[in-house]
Amino acid sequence: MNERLQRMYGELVARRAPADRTGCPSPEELLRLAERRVPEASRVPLLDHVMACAQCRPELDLLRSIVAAGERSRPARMPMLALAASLLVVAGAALLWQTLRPGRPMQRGGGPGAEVVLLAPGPGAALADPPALVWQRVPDAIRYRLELLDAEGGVVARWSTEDTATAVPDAGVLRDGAEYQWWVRAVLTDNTQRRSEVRRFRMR
Amino acid sequence: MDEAGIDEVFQEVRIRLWRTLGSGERISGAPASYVYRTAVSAAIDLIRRRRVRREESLDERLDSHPVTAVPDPARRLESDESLERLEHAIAELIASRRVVVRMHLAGYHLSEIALMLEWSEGKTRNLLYRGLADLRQLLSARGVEVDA
Repeated sequence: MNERLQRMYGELVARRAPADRTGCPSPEELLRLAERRVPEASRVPLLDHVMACAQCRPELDLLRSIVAAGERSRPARMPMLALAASLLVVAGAALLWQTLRPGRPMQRGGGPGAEVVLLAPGPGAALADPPALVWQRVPDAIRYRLELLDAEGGVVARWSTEDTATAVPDAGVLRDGAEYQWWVRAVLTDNTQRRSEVRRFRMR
Repeated sequence: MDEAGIDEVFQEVRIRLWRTLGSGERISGAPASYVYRTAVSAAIDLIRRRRVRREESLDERLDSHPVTAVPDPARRLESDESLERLEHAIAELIASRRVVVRMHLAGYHLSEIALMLEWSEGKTRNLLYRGLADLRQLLSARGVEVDA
Protein backbone atom coordinates (compact mmCIF):
# COMPACT_ATOMS: atom_id res chain seq x y z
CA MET A 1 0.00 0.00 0.00
CA ASN A 2 2.61 2.49 1.09
CA GLU A 3 4.74 2.35 -2.02
CA ARG A 4 1.92 3.22 -4.39
CA LEU A 5 0.45 5.71 -1.95
CA GLN A 6 3.79 7.42 -1.54
CA ARG A 7 4.21 7.60 -5.30
CA MET A 8 0.69 8.96 -5.71
CA TYR A 9 1.28 11.49 -2.98
CA GLY A 10 4.55 12.62 -4.54
CA GLU A 11 2.76 13.12 -7.84
CA LEU A 12 -0.12 14.93 -6.18
CA VAL A 13 2.19 17.34 -4.38
CA ALA A 14 4.19 17.97 -7.55
CA ARG A 15 1.07 18.70 -9.58
CA ARG A 16 -0.34 21.02 -6.92
CA ALA A 17 2.87 23.04 -6.58
CA PRO A 18 1.73 26.61 -5.91
CA ALA A 19 2.44 29.12 -8.65
CA ASP A 20 2.84 31.94 -6.14
CA ARG A 21 3.98 31.72 -2.56
CA THR A 22 1.57 34.14 -0.90
CA GLY A 23 -0.01 31.32 1.09
CA CYS A 24 3.32 29.84 2.14
CA PRO A 25 5.05 30.44 5.47
CA SER A 26 7.95 32.90 5.45
CA PRO A 27 11.53 31.57 5.62
CA GLU A 28 11.65 32.80 9.23
CA GLU A 29 8.54 30.77 10.11
CA LEU A 30 10.14 27.73 8.51
CA LEU A 31 13.24 28.35 10.60
CA ARG A 32 11.17 28.54 13.79
CA LEU A 33 9.60 25.25 12.78
CA ALA A 34 13.01 23.68 12.14
CA GLU A 35 14.26 24.97 15.49
CA ARG A 36 11.13 23.61 17.18
CA ARG A 37 10.08 27.02 18.46
CA VAL A 38 6.48 26.90 17.19
CA PRO A 39 3.63 26.17 19.62
CA GLU A 40 1.76 22.95 18.92
CA ALA A 41 -1.43 24.75 17.88
CA SER A 42 0.44 26.39 14.99
CA ARG A 43 2.93 23.59 14.39
CA VAL A 44 0.39 21.05 13.12
CA PRO A 45 -1.26 23.28 10.48
CA LEU A 46 2.13 24.68 9.46
CA LEU A 47 3.60 21.22 8.90
CA ASP A 48 0.39 20.16 7.19
CA HIS A 49 0.97 22.93 4.64
CA VAL A 50 4.69 22.26 4.26
CA MET A 51 4.15 18.55 3.62
CA ALA A 52 1.61 19.35 0.92
CA CYS A 53 3.74 22.05 -0.72
CA ALA A 54 6.43 21.09 -3.22
CA GLN A 55 8.13 24.46 -2.66
CA CYS A 56 8.13 24.66 1.14
CA ARG A 57 9.26 21.13 1.92
CA PRO A 58 12.78 21.31 0.48
CA GLU A 59 13.18 24.71 2.14
CA LEU A 60 12.28 23.24 5.52
CA ASP A 61 14.61 20.28 4.90
CA LEU A 62 17.46 22.67 4.18
CA LEU A 63 16.88 24.56 7.44
CA ARG A 64 16.36 21.38 9.46
CA SER A 65 19.69 20.05 8.24
CA ILE A 66 21.48 23.19 9.41
CA VAL A 67 19.69 23.11 12.76
CA ALA A 68 20.67 19.45 13.20
CA ALA A 69 24.31 20.26 12.36
CA GLY A 70 24.23 23.11 14.88
CA GLU A 71 22.83 20.86 17.60
CA ARG A 72 25.48 18.21 16.90
CA SER A 73 28.37 20.67 16.98
CA ARG A 74 27.29 22.59 20.11
CA PRO A 75 28.99 20.45 22.77
CA ALA A 76 32.09 19.86 20.67
CA ARG A 77 33.63 23.34 21.17
CA MET A 78 35.37 22.90 17.84
CA PRO A 79 34.10 25.71 15.63
CA MET A 80 36.06 24.71 12.56
CA LEU A 81 34.58 21.26 12.69
CA ALA A 82 31.23 22.83 13.41
CA LEU A 83 31.70 24.92 10.29
CA ALA A 84 32.68 21.88 8.29
CA ALA A 85 29.65 20.03 9.60
CA SER A 86 27.38 22.94 8.76
CA LEU A 87 28.81 23.26 5.29
CA LEU A 88 28.62 19.57 4.65
CA VAL A 89 25.09 19.37 5.88
CA VAL A 90 24.15 22.38 3.81
CA ALA A 91 25.62 20.59 0.81
CA GLY A 92 23.71 17.47 1.75
CA ALA A 93 20.52 19.44 2.18
CA ALA A 94 21.11 21.14 -1.12
CA LEU A 95 21.37 17.74 -2.74
CA LEU A 96 18.20 16.80 -0.95
CA TRP A 97 16.62 19.96 -2.29
CA GLN A 98 17.77 19.04 -5.76
CA THR A 99 16.50 15.50 -5.57
CA LEU A 100 13.19 16.44 -3.97
CA ARG A 101 12.23 18.68 -6.84
CA PRO A 102 9.18 17.39 -8.69
CA GLY A 103 10.35 14.58 -10.90
CA ARG A 104 13.41 13.84 -8.76
CA PRO A 105 12.06 11.82 -5.81
CA MET A 106 14.56 10.90 -3.13
CA GLN A 107 14.29 7.71 -1.16
CA ARG A 108 14.90 7.93 2.55
CA GLY A 109 16.03 5.26 4.95
CA GLY A 110 18.34 4.56 7.85
CA GLY A 111 19.16 7.57 10.04
CA PRO A 112 18.86 11.15 8.90
CA GLY A 113 20.70 11.07 5.60
CA ALA A 114 22.51 7.81 6.34
CA GLU A 115 21.36 5.41 3.65
CA VAL A 116 24.63 4.17 2.21
CA VAL A 117 26.52 2.23 4.87
CA LEU A 118 30.22 3.07 5.01
CA LEU A 119 32.49 0.16 5.94
CA ALA A 120 36.10 1.37 5.89
CA PRO A 121 38.07 3.18 7.07
CA GLY A 122 36.35 3.28 10.45
CA PRO A 123 35.21 6.57 11.98
CA GLY A 124 38.16 8.76 12.98
CA ALA A 125 40.77 6.28 11.73
CA ALA A 126 44.40 7.47 11.74
CA LEU A 127 46.04 6.17 8.57
CA ALA A 128 49.63 5.83 7.48
CA ASP A 129 48.73 5.11 3.83
CA PRO A 130 46.10 6.45 1.45
CA PRO A 131 42.89 4.66 2.35
CA ALA A 132 40.72 2.24 0.43
CA LEU A 133 37.22 3.65 0.82
CA VAL A 134 34.68 0.86 1.13
CA TRP A 135 30.90 0.85 1.55
CA GLN A 136 28.01 -1.54 1.38
CA ARG A 137 26.40 -2.20 -2.00
CA VAL A 138 23.07 -0.44 -2.42
CA PRO A 139 20.53 -2.51 -4.37
CA ASP A 140 19.81 -1.01 -7.82
CA ALA A 141 22.70 1.45 -7.60
CA ILE A 142 24.22 2.13 -11.00
CA ARG A 143 27.07 4.28 -9.73
CA TYR A 144 28.41 5.93 -6.64
CA ARG A 145 29.61 9.52 -6.36
CA LEU A 146 32.21 10.31 -3.77
CA GLU A 147 33.34 13.54 -2.25
CA LEU A 148 36.49 14.03 -0.20
CA LEU A 149 36.67 17.20 1.88
CA ASP A 150 39.24 18.80 4.10
CA ALA A 151 38.61 19.69 7.74
CA GLU A 152 37.17 23.08 6.74
CA GLY A 153 34.67 21.51 4.38
CA GLY A 154 36.52 22.45 1.20
CA VAL A 155 36.21 19.93 -1.61
CA VAL A 156 39.49 18.08 -2.17
CA ALA A 157 38.23 15.59 -4.75
CA ARG A 158 35.03 14.45 -6.41
CA TRP A 159 34.77 11.28 -8.43
CA SER A 160 32.44 8.42 -9.44
CA THR A 161 32.73 4.66 -9.52
CA GLU A 162 30.52 1.68 -10.23
CA ASP A 163 32.30 -0.38 -7.59
CA THR A 164 31.79 -0.37 -3.83
CA ALA A 165 35.45 0.28 -3.08
CA THR A 166 37.74 2.94 -4.39
CA ALA A 167 40.89 4.86 -3.68
CA VAL A 168 41.36 8.62 -3.81
CA PRO A 169 42.18 9.18 -7.53
CA ASP A 170 45.19 11.39 -6.77
CA ALA A 171 46.65 10.24 -3.46
CA GLY A 172 49.05 13.19 -3.65
CA VAL A 173 46.29 15.48 -2.37
CA LEU A 174 46.42 13.74 1.02
CA ARG A 175 48.77 15.55 3.37
CA ASP A 176 50.32 13.99 6.46
CA GLY A 177 48.73 15.16 9.68
CA ALA A 178 45.63 16.52 7.90
CA GLU A 179 42.08 15.47 8.62
CA TYR A 180 39.65 14.57 5.85
CA GLN A 181 36.00 13.73 5.52
CA TRP A 182 34.27 11.67 2.87
CA TRP A 183 30.78 10.63 1.89
CA VAL A 184 29.11 8.61 -0.82
CA ARG A 185 25.98 9.21 -2.86
CA ALA A 186 24.42 6.22 -4.65
CA VAL A 187 22.56 6.90 -7.89
CA LEU A 188 19.87 4.27 -8.46
CA THR A 189 18.38 2.94 -11.69
CA ASP A 190 15.19 4.98 -11.16
CA ASN A 191 17.35 8.11 -10.83
CA THR A 192 16.72 8.46 -7.10
CA GLN A 193 19.69 8.88 -4.80
CA ARG A 194 20.80 7.67 -1.41
CA ARG A 195 23.60 9.08 0.64
CA SER A 196 25.91 8.05 3.42
CA GLU A 197 26.89 9.73 6.63
CA VAL A 198 29.97 11.98 6.50
CA ARG A 199 32.94 10.09 7.93
CA ARG A 200 36.32 11.38 9.07
CA PHE A 201 39.83 10.02 8.84
CA ARG A 202 43.25 11.49 9.53
CA MET A 203 46.55 10.96 7.74
CA ARG A 204 49.36 10.29 10.21
CA MET B 1 18.83 23.18 -6.74
CA ASP B 2 21.54 22.53 -9.33
CA GLU B 3 25.28 22.08 -8.80
CA ALA B 4 25.77 25.84 -9.07
CA GLY B 5 23.18 26.32 -6.35
CA ILE B 6 24.98 23.89 -4.06
CA ASP B 7 28.21 25.80 -4.53
CA GLU B 8 26.31 29.03 -3.89
CA VAL B 9 25.27 27.92 -0.40
CA PHE B 10 28.61 26.31 0.26
CA GLN B 11 30.56 29.41 -0.63
CA GLU B 12 28.20 31.88 0.98
CA VAL B 13 28.87 30.64 4.51
CA ARG B 14 32.61 30.58 3.98
CA ILE B 15 32.68 34.05 2.43
CA ARG B 16 30.62 35.52 5.26
CA LEU B 17 32.92 34.02 7.87
CA TRP B 18 36.05 35.17 6.08
CA ARG B 19 34.64 38.67 5.56
CA THR B 20 33.68 39.03 9.19
CA LEU B 21 36.54 37.24 10.87
CA GLY B 22 39.28 37.77 8.32
CA SER B 23 41.62 34.92 9.13
CA GLY B 24 41.59 31.17 9.59
CA GLU B 25 42.83 31.63 13.14
CA ARG B 26 39.95 33.88 14.09
CA ILE B 27 37.48 31.54 12.39
CA SER B 28 38.96 28.71 14.44
CA GLY B 29 38.24 30.70 17.57
CA ALA B 30 34.70 31.69 16.57
CA PRO B 31 31.97 30.31 18.78
CA ALA B 32 29.98 27.45 17.26
CA SER B 33 26.80 29.49 17.85
CA TYR B 34 28.17 32.24 15.58
CA VAL B 35 28.99 29.75 12.84
CA TYR B 36 25.50 28.32 13.22
CA ARG B 37 23.81 31.73 12.90
CA THR B 38 25.90 32.45 9.81
CA ALA B 39 24.82 29.19 8.16
CA VAL B 40 21.17 29.82 9.06
CA SER B 41 21.29 33.37 7.75
CA ALA B 42 22.91 32.24 4.49
CA ALA B 43 20.22 29.60 4.03
CA ILE B 44 17.39 32.08 4.73
CA ASP B 45 18.85 34.51 2.22
CA LEU B 46 19.18 31.74 -0.35
CA ILE B 47 15.53 30.73 0.15
CA ARG B 48 14.44 34.36 -0.25
CA ARG B 49 16.52 34.80 -3.41
CA ARG B 50 15.10 31.63 -4.92
CA ARG B 51 11.54 32.68 -4.13
CA VAL B 52 12.09 36.05 -5.81
CA ARG B 53 13.76 34.44 -8.84
CA ARG B 54 10.87 32.01 -9.19
CA GLU B 55 8.30 34.83 -9.02
CA GLU B 56 10.21 36.91 -11.55
CA SER B 57 10.54 34.02 -13.95
CA LEU B 58 6.86 33.22 -13.52
CA ASP B 59 5.93 36.85 -14.21
CA GLU B 60 8.06 36.80 -17.35
CA ARG B 61 6.45 33.60 -18.54
CA LEU B 62 2.95 34.91 -17.84
CA ASP B 63 3.74 38.17 -19.64
CA SER B 64 4.94 36.40 -22.75
CA HIS B 65 2.73 33.30 -22.68
CA PRO B 66 -0.38 33.32 -20.50
CA VAL B 67 -0.31 29.55 -20.01
CA THR B 68 -1.87 27.10 -17.62
CA ALA B 69 0.37 24.55 -15.93
CA VAL B 70 0.88 21.47 -18.05
CA PRO B 71 2.62 18.72 -16.10
CA ASP B 72 5.24 16.66 -17.83
CA PRO B 73 3.37 13.73 -19.47
CA ALA B 74 6.14 11.34 -18.39
CA ARG B 75 5.28 12.09 -14.79
CA ARG B 76 1.57 11.51 -15.14
CA LEU B 77 1.61 7.97 -13.82
CA GLU B 78 -1.66 8.35 -11.96
CA SER B 79 -4.93 9.62 -13.35
CA ASP B 80 -6.17 13.05 -12.30
CA GLU B 81 -9.18 11.33 -10.84
CA SER B 82 -7.15 9.03 -8.57
CA LEU B 83 -5.07 11.92 -7.32
CA GLU B 84 -8.13 14.04 -6.69
CA ARG B 85 -9.65 11.20 -4.68
CA LEU B 86 -6.45 10.87 -2.68
CA GLU B 87 -6.40 14.60 -2.06
CA HIS B 88 -9.98 14.59 -0.80
CA ALA B 89 -9.44 11.49 1.33
CA ILE B 90 -6.39 13.05 3.02
CA ALA B 91 -8.32 16.27 3.59
CA GLU B 92 -10.97 14.29 5.47
CA LEU B 93 -8.52 12.87 8.00
CA ILE B 94 -8.43 14.27 11.53
CA ALA B 95 -5.78 17.02 11.62
CA SER B 96 -3.37 15.20 13.98
CA ARG B 97 -3.55 12.03 11.87
CA ARG B 98 -3.45 13.92 8.59
CA VAL B 99 -0.16 15.69 9.31
CA VAL B 100 1.49 12.42 10.35
CA VAL B 101 0.17 10.63 7.26
CA ARG B 102 1.37 13.44 5.00
CA MET B 103 4.85 13.30 6.53
CA HIS B 104 4.95 9.54 6.19
CA LEU B 105 3.83 9.70 2.56
CA ALA B 106 6.45 12.39 1.95
CA GLY B 107 9.07 9.84 3.01
CA TYR B 108 9.94 10.88 6.56
CA HIS B 109 10.80 8.28 9.17
CA LEU B 110 8.72 7.86 12.28
CA SER B 111 11.55 9.26 14.45
CA GLU B 112 11.82 12.37 12.24
CA ILE B 113 8.05 12.86 12.30
CA ALA B 114 7.96 12.57 16.09
CA LEU B 115 10.88 14.99 16.41
CA MET B 116 9.34 17.61 14.15
CA LEU B 117 5.96 17.40 15.82
CA GLU B 118 7.54 17.15 19.29
CA TRP B 119 5.41 14.13 20.08
CA SER B 120 6.52 10.80 21.53
CA GLU B 121 7.25 8.05 19.02
CA GLY B 122 4.46 5.98 20.61
CA LYS B 123 1.87 8.70 20.04
CA THR B 124 3.16 9.34 16.52
CA ARG B 125 3.13 5.64 15.62
CA ASN B 126 -0.43 5.33 16.90
CA LEU B 127 -1.61 8.36 14.90
CA LEU B 128 0.13 7.06 11.78
CA TYR B 129 -1.37 3.60 12.15
CA ARG B 130 -4.85 4.99 12.62
CA GLY B 131 -4.41 7.64 9.94
CA LEU B 132 -3.32 5.09 7.33
CA ALA B 133 -6.22 2.81 8.26
CA ASP B 134 -8.65 5.73 7.85
CA LEU B 135 -7.05 6.67 4.56
CA ARG B 136 -7.29 3.12 3.25
CA GLN B 137 -10.97 3.04 4.16
CA LEU B 138 -11.71 6.44 2.62
CA LEU B 139 -9.92 5.51 -0.59
CA SER B 140 -11.62 2.16 -0.80
CA ALA B 141 -15.01 3.88 -0.44
CA ARG B 142 -13.99 6.07 -3.39
CA GLY B 143 -13.03 3.07 -5.49
CA VAL B 144 -9.26 3.52 -5.17
CA GLU B 145 -7.55 0.29 -4.14
CA VAL B 146 -4.00 0.69 -2.96
CA ASP B 147 -3.36 -2.60 -1.18
CA ALA B 148 -2.25 -4.60 -4.18
